[in-house]
Formats: sequence, C-alpha cells, structure tokens
Amino acid sequence: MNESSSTFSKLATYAVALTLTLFVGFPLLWLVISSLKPSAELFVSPPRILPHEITFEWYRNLLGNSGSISLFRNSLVVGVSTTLICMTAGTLAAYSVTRFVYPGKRVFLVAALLSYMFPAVVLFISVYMIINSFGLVDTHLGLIICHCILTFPFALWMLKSFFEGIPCEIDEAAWVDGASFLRTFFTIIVPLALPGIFSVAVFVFVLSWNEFLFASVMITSGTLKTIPVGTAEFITSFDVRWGEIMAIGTLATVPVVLLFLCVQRYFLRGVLEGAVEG
Amino acid sequence: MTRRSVATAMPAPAPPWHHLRLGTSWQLLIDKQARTGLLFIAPSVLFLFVFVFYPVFDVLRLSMSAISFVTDRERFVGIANFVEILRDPKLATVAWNTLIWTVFSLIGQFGLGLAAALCINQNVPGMKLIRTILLLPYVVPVIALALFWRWMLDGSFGIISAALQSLGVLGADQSPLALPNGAMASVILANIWRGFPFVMISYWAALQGIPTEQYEAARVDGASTWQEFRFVTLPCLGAITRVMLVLRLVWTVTFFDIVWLITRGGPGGATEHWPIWIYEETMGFFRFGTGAALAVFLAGILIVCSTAYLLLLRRESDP
Amino acid sequence: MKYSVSVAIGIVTGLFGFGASARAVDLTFWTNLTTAAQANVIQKQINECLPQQPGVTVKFETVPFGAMYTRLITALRKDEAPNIMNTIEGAVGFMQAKNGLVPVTDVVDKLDRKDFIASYLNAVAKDGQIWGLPDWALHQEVWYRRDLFEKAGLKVPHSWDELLQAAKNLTQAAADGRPAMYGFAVPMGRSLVAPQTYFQIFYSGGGAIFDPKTGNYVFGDQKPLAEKSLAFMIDLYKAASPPASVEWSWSEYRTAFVKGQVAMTNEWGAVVQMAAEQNPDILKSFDVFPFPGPSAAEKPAASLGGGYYYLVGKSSPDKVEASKKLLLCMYDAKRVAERANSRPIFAIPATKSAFDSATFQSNDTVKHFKPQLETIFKDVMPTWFRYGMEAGLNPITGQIEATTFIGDAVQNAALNKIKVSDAVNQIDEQLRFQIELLRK
Repeated sequence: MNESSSTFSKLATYAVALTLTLFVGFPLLWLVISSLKPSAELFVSPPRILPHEITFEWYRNLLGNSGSISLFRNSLVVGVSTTLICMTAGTLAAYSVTRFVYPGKRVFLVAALLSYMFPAVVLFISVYMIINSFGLVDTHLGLIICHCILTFPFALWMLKSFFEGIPCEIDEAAWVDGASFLRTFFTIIVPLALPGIFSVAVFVFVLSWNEFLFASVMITSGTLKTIPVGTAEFITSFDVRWGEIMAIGTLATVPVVLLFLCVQRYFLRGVLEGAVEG
Repeated sequence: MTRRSVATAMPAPAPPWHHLRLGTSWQLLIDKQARTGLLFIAPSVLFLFVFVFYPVFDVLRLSMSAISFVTDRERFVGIANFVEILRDPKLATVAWNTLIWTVFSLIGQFGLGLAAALCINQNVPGMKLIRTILLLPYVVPVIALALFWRWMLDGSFGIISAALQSLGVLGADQSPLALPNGAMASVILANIWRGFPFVMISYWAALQGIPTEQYEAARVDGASTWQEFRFVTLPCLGAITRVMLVLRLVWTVTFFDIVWLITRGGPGGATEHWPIWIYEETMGFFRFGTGAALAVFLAGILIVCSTAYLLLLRRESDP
Repeated sequence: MKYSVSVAIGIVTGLFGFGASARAVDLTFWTNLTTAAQANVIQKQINECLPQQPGVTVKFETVPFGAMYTRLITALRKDEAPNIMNTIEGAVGFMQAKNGLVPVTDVVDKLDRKDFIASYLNAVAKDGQIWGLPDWALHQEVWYRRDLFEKAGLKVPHSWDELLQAAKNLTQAAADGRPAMYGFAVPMGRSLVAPQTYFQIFYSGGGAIFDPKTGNYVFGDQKPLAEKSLAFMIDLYKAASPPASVEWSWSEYRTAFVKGQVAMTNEWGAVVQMAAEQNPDILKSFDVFPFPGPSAAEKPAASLGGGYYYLVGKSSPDKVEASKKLLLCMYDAKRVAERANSRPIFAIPATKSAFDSATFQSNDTVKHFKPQLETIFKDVMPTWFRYGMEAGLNPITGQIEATTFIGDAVQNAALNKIKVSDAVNQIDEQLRFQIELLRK
C-alpha cells in the first residue's frame, strides 16, 4: 500500500478519522454512559456528561431476566440464517446475471427491485398469509423468509455491481482451462469478490438484526422473540423505561461488533489473492 | 502475478456468447451457459415467485379497492383511490417533505460515507478499531437511537439543545424539535448519522477491489494524490455509486421508523413524509386500499426516477 | 377419583352448564402491559387461577403496544382472535366493531355491577351489552406543587381563568443561577398526547364528540366551546408552558414536573412512581385537583379518562366459557387491587371493593397519597369520557389514537400557522369523514 507512505497523508488520515470518530462516537458514548446512569441522573438541567455514580441495575434487570438472553439468541439465529440464505442465493444470481446470457435477465433484475420499493407496512398482511399457508407462523424459518424478502433485492443489486468489477477475462481463462462454471465461481471469483460479499453480508445481517415489523407479527411465542420486539416491550403506551432501553441498545451492538471485527480481514484485498495466483 | 497479467499472459479465445444480443433466440436455452445461468438463478426466481410477487400483486390489487372496516369486504373502485390522493390537500406538503428528507439525507450520507471510506482505506495502526466504531451508528436499534436523539434534543435536558441555546440560536428551553425547520433538520441529521456507515463500508469494499497496479501506473506517470483520486479511484467507484444511489434512494424514501419515532411527523406535519402518510392510512385509519394506492404511487415515482437515472448513465450494458 | 369428581362438579356448577366434557382447552392470553413488574403479576394470577380449571392451559403473551394492531389484524384474518386480551379502550372498540368479541355482561353481573364504577362500564357499552371488564382505571387530573402554591399564596383554581392566573403567577424566567420555572405544562405531541390534553379541556367545559344519551355526532354543533377550549389551551401554552412542549410526549412533561421544572401539569398519576425513581424529595409536595371547568360556578363537566380492560375473544363455546371462568377468578377484589398496585397511582382499581380492600390500601404509595386518591376516586373517576366513546364503544376512538389529525390541527394552531377556528373545522371535517367511512 503506497497511499499511506507520506507523513502528511498519515496525519490527514488521522485528522479525518478523529473528526468522524467524534461525530459518531460522541452520541454513542452518551448512549453507553446513560445506560450506566441511575434514574435520578438521566435528566438533569444543565446536561452533564459524566454521572456522579454508576449503576449496573439496568444491565442486571436485562441479563437477570432469562428472556433477554433468549432475545439475543433468537436474533442471532435469524440473522445468521438470513445472511447465509440471502447471500448464497444472491451471489449465485448476481454471478449468473453478470456472466451469462439468457432471456428474462433484465425482467428479473427489475422485478427483484420492485418489491424493495414497497414499505413493509403494506406488504405484511399478504406475506403473513403466505407464511401462514406454509404453517410457518411463529417459527424462526417464517421470520427468516420475511427477512430474505426484505434483503434479497438489495443483496442482488449490490453483488451484481461487485461482480461487474471483476473482469470476465478471469472466468474465461478458467473456463478455457476446463474448469466447470460452478468450480470457477467458488474457487476463483468468490475469493476475489470477498470484500463486496462481506460488505453486503454485514448489511443483510444488520437489517435482520434490527427489523421490527415482521418480527413483531410473525413471532408470537415469548421464547422466540427477537431483540427489536423485546426492546419495544420497554415502551408501553404510557411509560418509557429509559435505563433498560439504553442498556439493551448498547448490548445489541455487541454481537455485531464482534462479528465485524472477525470478518474485517476478509474485506482487505490481498487476503486470498495468494490462492488465485498460486 | 496479478489479475491483469493473467489476462495478458494467456489470451483467451472470446467466448461465443458475449457477442450475442439478448432475446435473439430461445435456442440459447439449449446452450450450456444459458442453462447454467438459469440454474444459478433458479432458487432466487422460485423464492421471488412464491414470496414476493404475490404480495406485490396484492398491493396492486388493493390499491384499486376500497375495504369496509367492519366487514373487511373489498370493493373494486378502479382509480378512485389515486384520484383521492391527487386531490388531497396534504399531497404537496408531504411530497415536498419527502423530497427534502431524501435529497439532504443522500447528500449527507454519500459525502460523509465517501470521505470516511477514503479514510478507513488507509492501513494505519488503530484503523481496525476505528472502522468498527464508525460502523456502529448503523447497528444500534432504531428505537434506542430515536429515543436517544430525542433526549439529546430535549429543550431542558438535552445536550445539543443546551449548546444551541447558549449560542443564541434557540430561545430558552426551546428544542429544535418544536420548530418545523428544526425538526426536519434534526431527523435528517439523525438519518445521516445513522446511514453513512452503509455507504462507507460499500465504498471501502469497492476501494479494496481497485487493483494496486493502477495506482502504481498512475504514480509512475507522475500523478499527484488528487489526480490519483480523480482518475483512478473515482472512475472505479462509478459503478458502485450508481447502484448505491438507486438503492439508498429507495431505502430513504421508504424509511418510516426513524422519522416516526423521533417526531411522529410533527410539529404540525412538518416532518410528515410519504411513509408516515402510508402508515397513517394503513394502520391508523385502517384504509388498506388508500394505503396501498399511496405505496403504488410512491413505487411508481421511484421506478420512473431509477429507470431514468440508470438509462441516462448506463455505460456498461448488461451482457 | 377425587380429581375427576371435582372436575365434573366444576363443570356442572360452572357458569353456563354447557355440559362439556373435561377435554384440554388451550387459551391464548395477550396483555399490553409488557413491563416485567406488571406482566409478572398477571402471569402469577393466571397460575393461581388455573388449578380451578384442570385441562385448561394458557399461552401468555406480552404484546408491545406498537405491535398490537398489526397482530390483531393478522389474528382476525386467521380467525384466531386471542381468547383473553388485556388492552386499552381503543382496541376494545376496534375488536368489537370487527365482531371479534363476546360480551361480558354476564361476568359483570356475576361480579356485581354496582361494584364497578359506572363510567368505566359505560365507555365499553354498546347495544345494551358490556364488552370489556374494567381493569386498570385511568384518570387525568392536575398534579401540582403544593409547596410552590403555598409560597406564592395561591389557592386551588376552580375555573379556567383562575388556572391561567395561577400558571402565569408561577412562571418565572431564569435568573441568578435559578433555572426557569413554568406554571403549567401543555404537551401537544402529535400522536395521542395533543388529543389527550385538548380533550381534557374540552370535556371540562361540557363538550363531547357524540352525545352520551343519544349517540348523535355533536362535535360540529359545539364549535364555540371547541374553539374556546383550544384558544384557552394555546393561551396557557404561550403564557406558562415551555416552548418545546408543543411536541412533548408523556416522558417529557412528566420529567419536567418530576424535575421541578413546571409547577402544574395535566397528568395520569405516573409522576409518582417516576419521582420515586428520579427525585424522591419532591414527592411530599405533590398534590392534585380536578381540572376545573370554564367557570367557578360549576364543577367541571367531565375529564378525559381511559382504562385497561379484559376482553373475551370470539371463539368456541368451551374456550369462551373457560376464559370467563378464568376472569371471574382474576376479578377477586384482592387480585384486582394487586394488579393496580403494579403501577400505583397511575392505575386505580375500577371496582369499589378492590379500592377499599386491604391489599390496595396497604400499599405504601397508596397510603402516602391517600387524600389525593380519595379526590381522584370521588371527583374525577365517576365522570370521564374517551374521545369518541362518550356514548359507548366506537371504533373511531382507536383511529383517533392511531392517527395524528387532531394533533396536527392543535400543533398548527399553537404554532400560529392556522387560526383556532380553522383548526376546529379541520378536526370536525376529518371526524365526519372517518365516521362516514366507518358506516360503509
């Protein structure tokens, strides 16, 4: 990487990074700090950043309640499954659209985007009835399907764009060498498209992680509820449990942070380039 | 060996299908590559048919019906719902609000996202952590986020309002949320804050896909950092920008949660955008026909905009 | 042997004597009271009552309010309305209009109709039947700071003018490190809160959307009162309420009161528990008075109230019977009091027996606020309406609550964007339009 060779550009990078981190980090820090503030200190005038005393009672309330742990488990199951299914179908479809020629491609692309344009609130009844006809209401699979509906168009189009960035010559070289389509796809193209694939995967996961409407309609059993629905329960029609909401809001970011830290290296070019050249 | 040298070292015979135009003949189906292509796409098509197309057609059908609240019976009314929408006095306000909301959100998210992506693309120490921090706004649940922004903007206890009051921008104990323009600015800011990581990560992934030798070649040619950016980086980001713009446009225009949770569309309808209107008709008045018509109307506008945009700027054609 | 005998006796001496055999009955039970403290009490009581009906199981669900209507709609589509619902009056109107409920008049009579506060029964009456069992009785009155009143030598206001005067008196700008104090919080959050504030004022002057006796739409005939109420509300806002209150929701105005920023506020009683958590020292200076009417000569005609109810969904006879039996058990005075105590002062029992019960009266918060509760129970709770339900159940209530057209009109008038008369006209037009649609 030559971009960071000069000291000036390094300093500039840090300056920009610092500004951004402040812009992003300040509200986030506020969020975390207020999840540790006792009720009495949540609302003070004039506003104070640091509390006089710290309390873990909100976290205790959350974690002591076994229901909260199952919220995380359920969101994780639904999120990971949605990501795997959506990405598998999406990468295959995007690859197919950018490499092969057959009738109906454009129709498919536009049609896939069409469902993306309707807000969930007008779709949910019909979707519910379909899932119901499969007997999948109040199951994780039913919700996974709903989340795939929401994320697939976006995954398809983003992946198409990333695949288009990889020159066809590479595929063709492999095909000429006698590799099958599937093998070329898996062993050559996918590794090259990893940054793109992972970036889309992150967002598919986050979308599923934070989705409320379908999660609240599809899942009725307390043991299967996801985090957004659990969070909404801290707001009854006349009462807002600030402490718990801030705490669960903070905790909800933790799994995604961990996942992102793990997969970050797949974003970096050159991780698997060795495999290609070899 | 790099990708480019692969291509130049072993010139491959041009595969037959790249010169064919779409729709030339259905004999393509017999062709092996076409079969494979269709096979790869089959699961997605199946999924779309079963789970997506029916709900969408249902919305289209509902948009032309009126549903009785008590009996749930549907009555075909043709374009009556659309006429009612066009005659509604709040159409202009809601459309304008939606436009402002979308345009400024996108400008902010893309500007910030690109700047952030260029920054995190550098491999300086500590960047891994910074990348994770910068991703966080997108990850925090919107409910927590909305409550949180409301709190920071509170007239008496909010840190942002306090700062604005001490600067004289706001009156005593006043909150931006109580002012029509202030409320719109607040939700747009919250949306930019929340949404830019998406643009940032996508750009970053795309930047990682730019072959290093292109930078090397440019440097050999004596290009400055700015020229590198303009002639190597930007063009390669063109494709992803186009797609993201369309996707983010659709997403922003239909994004209900954050505005509703922060302002409920107020004060006085100043932040009521199209999705809130849809929500009120559907889940407030339970007029599913009108709600569906509003959604179809919106989708129609989005399709027109996206198609125009993609056609205008289409440089690479779908093979 | 004893088991099956008791089951047989139970069925035979049961409410309706359908003579059903003791097969398994699975009931679904929804509550919107999702906070752990409240939901746990209900769950506990269900467990206490289930042994009375062997073979009956209950699937207990907490449904966040934000998901209530979407869940009801999909449930109705599948013809699977929940068997028992614990929800707020708007949903009662919705479910009854959609033919999803069975009347509970028989349960009310079994429990002694006179024991219930009539106003809570009237709100959910329709076609001569009662459609919900009043559980939490909600109430709105003015909560004020007795210490500030005493310091300023003020007496409890008995008219709108007196209220405005007192509020102005107590409003002071910030000075010498002392923060600003506002006399009366006027929250006008676009969704739900603005109508609640506005209709409190409108009702106190004798207004109504539907005539309680005839059921006719009368809002359009009361425009002078409607305009006067809105004008008064805006005067109060401009003179004595923080400017940001034009978009305040419950959280904000309660916090303002609990943190000592406003001297009076129109409230449901939640400030007590909130102050206990956030600012306990202020609790001893809390007091209440009913929201006054326009003139000191007459008591306020009514206030805005509400309630949480228990509903029985339409279902097979054995499920309906089992549900009603369960509710009969849960309406033991002690249990009603216990449920209300899960959120004291905000929730008051709707039955006299529960209000007078030892369980209720021995709660610490209740003991502390006994005089205030007496005032509320005697002066506020007997006369209240919910917008749209003055003459009994009406689905328009749910629609008013789920939409923002009243909040819009109120906010725009407060922001000087439209005239008060225009705002009232807007509300009237929209009400007529929606009522007409509901008829179709």
